[in-house]
Amino acid sequence: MKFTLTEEQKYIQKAIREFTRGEFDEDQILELLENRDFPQNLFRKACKLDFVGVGYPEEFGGQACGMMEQVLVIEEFCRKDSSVGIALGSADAGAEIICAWGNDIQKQKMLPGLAKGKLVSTVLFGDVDAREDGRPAAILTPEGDGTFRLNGNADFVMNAERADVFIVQAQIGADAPTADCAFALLKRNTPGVTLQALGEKLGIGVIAWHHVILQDVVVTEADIVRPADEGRGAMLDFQKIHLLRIAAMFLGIAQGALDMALRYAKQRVQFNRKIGEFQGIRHKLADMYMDLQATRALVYAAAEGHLHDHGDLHDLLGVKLTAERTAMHLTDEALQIFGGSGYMIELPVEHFYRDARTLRALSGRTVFQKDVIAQAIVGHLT
Amino acid sequence: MIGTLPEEYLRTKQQIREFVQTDLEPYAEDVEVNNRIPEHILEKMKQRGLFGLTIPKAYGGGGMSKLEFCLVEQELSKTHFAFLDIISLNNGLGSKSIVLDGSEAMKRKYLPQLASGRLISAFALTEPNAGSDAAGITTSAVRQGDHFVLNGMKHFITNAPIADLFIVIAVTDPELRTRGGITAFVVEKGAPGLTIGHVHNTMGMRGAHKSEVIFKDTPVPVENVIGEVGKGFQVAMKTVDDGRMGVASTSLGMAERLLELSIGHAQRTMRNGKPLADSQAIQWMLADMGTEIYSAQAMIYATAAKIDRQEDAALEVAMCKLYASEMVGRVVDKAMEIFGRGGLRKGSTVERMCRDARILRIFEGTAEIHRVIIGRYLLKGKRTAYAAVEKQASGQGGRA
Repeated sequence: MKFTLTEEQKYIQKAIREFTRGEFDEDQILELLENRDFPQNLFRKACKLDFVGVGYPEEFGGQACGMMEQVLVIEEFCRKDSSVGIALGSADAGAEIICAWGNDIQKQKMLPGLAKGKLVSTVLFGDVDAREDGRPAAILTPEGDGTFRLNGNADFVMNAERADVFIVQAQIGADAPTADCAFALLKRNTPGVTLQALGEKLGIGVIAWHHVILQDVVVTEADIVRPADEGRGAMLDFQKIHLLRIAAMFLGIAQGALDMALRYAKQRVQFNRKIGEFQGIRHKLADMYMDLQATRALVYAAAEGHLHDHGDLHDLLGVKLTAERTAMHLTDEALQIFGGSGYMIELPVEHFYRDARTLRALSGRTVFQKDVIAQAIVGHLT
Repeated sequence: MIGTLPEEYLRTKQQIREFVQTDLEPYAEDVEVNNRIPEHILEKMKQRGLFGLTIPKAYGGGGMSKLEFCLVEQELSKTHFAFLDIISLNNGLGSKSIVLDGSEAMKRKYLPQLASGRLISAFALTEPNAGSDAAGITTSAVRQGDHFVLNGMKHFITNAPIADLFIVIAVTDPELRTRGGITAFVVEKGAPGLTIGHVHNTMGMRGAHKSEVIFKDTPVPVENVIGEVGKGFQVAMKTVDDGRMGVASTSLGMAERLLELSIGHAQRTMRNGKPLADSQAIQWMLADMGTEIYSAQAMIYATAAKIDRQEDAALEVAMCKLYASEMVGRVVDKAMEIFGRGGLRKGSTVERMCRDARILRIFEGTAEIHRVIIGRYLLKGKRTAYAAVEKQASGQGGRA
């Protein structure tokens, strides 16, 4: 099936493919994973080729591309390698917030650095499940002299150790229902910011994770991003973008898993036949392909739709959950087709499997996300 | 089902459960981090006779029936996989062929030492180009006077780096192959030309080492042939068939542990002032986990009892392995959902079991090969024990 892409989108896709095929070296990636190192070299190269920050305005180092282009970039990164793809695709996490609501000074301070890879960012969420009543990560208390005190914490923060900038989902004042929603921009080494290493985890070994505690961190007005509508709306808009980016990661991981499974099924011989000649394996591959293409159609449609209006949160949650399910399915079947060799760390399909499960857990609980979808389509019935 | 188990078996099950809780589980993390079972724990396992539970009493073993041993495997799987894995070879793939087909001299020589754990065994069948297609092996054994000379490479061999004894399946007649050209041998560590190759680094199963085993002009005395020359494939298949119940029981034990942990976590974790367990979605996940565990347990116990009655249970064994190994996969997925991000942390049992359980659908025959076997049996008219009982019941008047 061919998806309709613009000439520019095709060009970007082709350029990234050339980059990932030429630069993502399997052995080097396995070494990075073993040493739990961030793919710094690949990140630098990706920045140099302008693959990071494609959605930023041109005057701030970007290419003013839409969501579709961003999805294509992340998909191709993750297709070639799930761990490196997620690392590159999330090195400027939260930049959308600055693009959408930051003032020109904030944009100038952050975006060109992020696009060039001179800065790395991470987001501190209070709530990863994207529920309407989600709590913020921290509370900004006005001090009267124009400064604020920031207090709060966030668990399982990816890349915190490496990030130069923390983008903290916060509210102004402690009164939750009416409070203003804002984002605080913090440097990692600001006094009052404490990182607690969480040790190793199931997958995505190239990114470390931490518990971050913010205690009486002094923030000035200049470091606060205030969305125009000062409410939940901004937070939701950001979450929608975030969900689409994660969906793109799952899509890429799924495609990568199918790529590997197909290659293996076409060359592995058992019972004097290529295993890809057996109907059982062929149908597995057919099921994987069907699932993948349906997911791709959905993710692309959501990314295209994002241009016109940002879509409903529950629909984007559905897109993310669908892509997640597809990635779970495809990485599982791909590993199964590899049999015993799929269980060996020497082959990438092994970490694709772990990474899909890790990304699933990191991106919130399915249970609560389905609550949001159900609420939107069923509503309150009392 | 549990009510029909003999008292004696239930006692064994309880004893193993206690041993796991007091002696093994405290070292689970140690095994995971250091990638080996501490020596003093291995010693304790040997003292308890865990290495020879299934070996006949006449040769120093525990003489356990299949059903009783399944219960042991089930309980042992509730802690780190390495503990069960290391004893499973001596109790199964590493000794079964000697028990079933070995000469009396061979039995006397090896079985008591396997039973005590003085010798650790490995089963060398799989090769890089012969996985699912076990008959496609190329390791050769050529007769030269009073011994055979082995050449070839095996891989993914569990216990190989620490094994004292290898059960090796090799080709003695490339023309005949499975029709009389494959032979099983006992090869001792230190045999000339036997080397351990690359040690595989795997997703899970830390502490349970797998590696390549390489034979280069390795001489093996003719008296080390297990059973008859040329009957090795049959010897191997009987052994593998036997081991499949172990995979089923392991899947069952792991799934039970995951359910136990999931229930505890759902009850303790508060979300908006309410325990996670109040969520109907979580309750339904637990319900599915419990229901599938129960059906696997019923299948496994019934099949093991059938094996103990010396009836042909090949079909049911394959079904048990297929169902239980896929069941634990689904249980892992739900447990991960219940544990959320915390379930990703190294050091959590859920994280470890997510990796360990993934092998169960692959080794001792993949799920795909099991579907092939089961389908073939069904088409040949083989029926499950359940069908036989039903037929008998309807013959006696059927339903009221």
